[in-house]
Amino acid sequence: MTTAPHALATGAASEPVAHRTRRLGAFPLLALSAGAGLLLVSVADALSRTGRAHASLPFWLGIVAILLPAAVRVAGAQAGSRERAAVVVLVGLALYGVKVLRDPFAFTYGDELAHLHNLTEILRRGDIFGTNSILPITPRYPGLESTGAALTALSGASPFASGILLIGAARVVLVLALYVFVERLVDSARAAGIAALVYAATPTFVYFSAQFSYESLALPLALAAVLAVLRWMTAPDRGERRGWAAVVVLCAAAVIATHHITSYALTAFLLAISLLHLMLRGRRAPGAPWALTAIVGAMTVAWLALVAGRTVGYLSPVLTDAVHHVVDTIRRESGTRTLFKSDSGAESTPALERAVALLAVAVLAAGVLAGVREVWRHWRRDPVVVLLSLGAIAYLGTFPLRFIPAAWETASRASGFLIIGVALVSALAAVALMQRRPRTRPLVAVAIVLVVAGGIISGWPASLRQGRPLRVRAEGHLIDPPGVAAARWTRSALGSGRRFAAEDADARLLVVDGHQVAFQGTNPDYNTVLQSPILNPWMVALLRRKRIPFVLADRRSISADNIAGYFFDVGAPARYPAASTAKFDLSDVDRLYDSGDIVIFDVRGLW
Amino acid sequence: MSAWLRRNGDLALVAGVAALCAVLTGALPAAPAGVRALPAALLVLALPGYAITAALVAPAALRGTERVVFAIALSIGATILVTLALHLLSIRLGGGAWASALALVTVAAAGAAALRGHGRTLRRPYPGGMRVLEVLALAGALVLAGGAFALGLTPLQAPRDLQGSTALWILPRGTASVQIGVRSDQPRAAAYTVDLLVGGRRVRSYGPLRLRPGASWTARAATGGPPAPVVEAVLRRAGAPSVVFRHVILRSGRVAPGPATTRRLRACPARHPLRGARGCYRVVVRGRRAFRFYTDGTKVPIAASRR
Repeated sequence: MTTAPHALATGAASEPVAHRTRRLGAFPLLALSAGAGLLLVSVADALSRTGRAHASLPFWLGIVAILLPAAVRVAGAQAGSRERAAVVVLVGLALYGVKVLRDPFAFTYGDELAHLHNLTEILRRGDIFGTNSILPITPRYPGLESTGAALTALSGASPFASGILLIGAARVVLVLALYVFVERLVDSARAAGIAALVYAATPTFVYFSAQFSYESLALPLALAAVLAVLRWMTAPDRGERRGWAAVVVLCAAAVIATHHITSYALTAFLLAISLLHLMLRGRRAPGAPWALTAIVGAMTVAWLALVAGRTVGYLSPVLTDAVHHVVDTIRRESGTRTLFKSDSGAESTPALERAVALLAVAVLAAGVLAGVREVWRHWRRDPVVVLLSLGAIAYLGTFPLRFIPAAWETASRASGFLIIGVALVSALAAVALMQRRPRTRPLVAVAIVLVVAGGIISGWPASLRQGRPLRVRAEGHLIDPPGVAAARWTRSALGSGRRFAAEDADARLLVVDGHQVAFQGTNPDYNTVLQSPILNPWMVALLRRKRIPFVLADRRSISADNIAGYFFDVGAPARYPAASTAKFDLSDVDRLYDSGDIVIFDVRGLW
Repeated sequence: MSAWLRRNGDLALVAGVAALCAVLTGALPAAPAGVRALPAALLVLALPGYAITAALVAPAALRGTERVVFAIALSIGATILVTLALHLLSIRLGGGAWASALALVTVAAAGAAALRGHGRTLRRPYPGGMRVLEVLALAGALVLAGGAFALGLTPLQAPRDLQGSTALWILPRGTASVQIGVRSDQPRAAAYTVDLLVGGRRVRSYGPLRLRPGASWTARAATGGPPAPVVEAVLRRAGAPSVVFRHVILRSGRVAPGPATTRRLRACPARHPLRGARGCYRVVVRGRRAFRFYTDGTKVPIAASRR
């Protein structure tokens, strides 16, 4: 796949020097710096949880302490391959630690709570393929939860601790597989190290993709499969090729049972490689993975047909909405989304952070353009490199989608796959630049820190990057946020398995802490049932049709936010009108629980 | 034999450790998490993948970094596929099933790898050892990271303007009594009074109740009936007795579903119509499931076909 001249062109000539260095190299010092960075991030979280200002300063200092020394070392030519690999794993785990330190007590992301329910259901039922009223599709992809359940059952640890460990292991696979993949592909440990660090610039890398969610496990497994495909393509004999084919099939099977989109992306990747191989190398050249594509594609289709048929109904509205909104926006029939603000428009990112994020985009774009030039000069006959370069260009193409309300999430999710190409071509550009001008190494290191910081800024709201008050000590005792207290009350007072209608965040707490069956969202439109000041007949009909005896009404508008709705409010929260709750105070309705903003009604009298 | 073992030292070690981990995790389910965590992590995240990789790919074709990638990835993959296989075989998922199956996969894969001549002799990972400064730096890194997590796991004082909550609830208990309760999740201790009203008339007052943060109070009160009258409870803060702070009300006269109970039957005569191997039982249907509650307190699910 790769030839020596390519490697020489990207700076791999320095590798023999690198291999003579001591095994640990600068790793211990970089670990010390990363440890200090984590401590700074933890201090920032503590400041944020206790309501003190300036928490973002130690946070960013911590991020720089984790990244900058590592970037300097990886950008240099001295480190050996193992040291570089250890450094990228260190950075990957330290950045995962940033997410874990934000929520060290419990899962607090909407998807995490849905998957946690699946895990506990597997342990309770002793079987997979249960039900989930929050994300009904997730039990049909039990890879994450079955592994988490196995860890929980075998270790005796909590599902939360098992989930943290599992995603941590997935993180190691993610960064290390990417590192080895690029190293094998372009025969340069230096480019591989830079690519693995640039990958952390994915807007979802630090927070969203580090959550206990099926995509967080499936993507690393898919990257391992891609690495095995590369080894299959370059295997010297049939025996070794057979072995790698088996590795591909095993990894792909795990991906298929874990996450829908990732399995489709893996199949598409294999198909594209096969087609590009045909176009660039001709029909007779060996190494096109047609057979692997057919096997993985058949397994994906079989899973979809036999196990997870409802995936089509789950995904199609998201994609069709995105397409319709793109068309509407082009026709100027619908408005655009304001960057750095949430859907409600309330979130605002500091000006300096916006500038960093925009500069990061510019640096990434420059890296992609320069890298594509390198690819054209040295790798234009290599189907894998060419495909990843096309992915890098497509990544730039997703930026306009971030201005469209219904398409930004699709663009954000796609970036997790496409940025692999960005990481590769940017690394090639960086190595070429440092070869021509060795003194640019500090600049490359700073650029790596900048793009990762930009990813963090654009990937997660500023107010949610640091910890929020969840487990709070008051006069020597622990107190619960209102949503958690209400959910736990339902379990102790009403028993488990009751059917509730609730706002997005409350519904997740009801499912996890209350062990209830909770319905939320807009399809059917429970949000309007809960937020409207008037109780319309269709709402009563919906509750009757779905046999929902309990309604948990929450006046705090943040309860509709499945990312931020689980914590204590600091300061008075924004509220829906009082009528949104009062409309249930009818003659046949029992008002069972009242904690101010949260009221639980027994609405069976309305049926 | 010893030469064969030396040649396949890694595979023998992996197989042996997998069997030991299976015993520690599957056969000792009562052991604390601290004891079982490492064996569980090895069995789910490392050993099966290492053995499978060795069975499929010759060691000369693998770099150390690749071995790490595929050891973890294929271990996770093996756990997923083993779980699917157990499901297809209708074997109940649990510690014992996972431990046995994963150990079996590991030992089988290690055996296959050994038969293919893919074993490796064991070597010390760092033949030259580490320098003192390196050890100190790594220890310092562990201390700093440990400090970060220790700080993160410490519940901190509430921010000054944290919005706590106080909950009042009411639940019908039969047709002639109710349970009322208060829980305070306020950042400071607070005093409350609770009034119970039946048919609009105050029949009982409680308090002042002083509740520390996180504390609860409950009471049970007779309300008369049937038919069940409208029953209300009103919570007021002791400092503002004229303002209704929380309000709950039972209007419908329905009995709310309660939590699951395992109340024992008091007597079990010889000719009790529902008498089983463990004594007498009563049948409780919850949703789509049914259980037998025996006199000895045990709860046994009843299979759907036997209902």
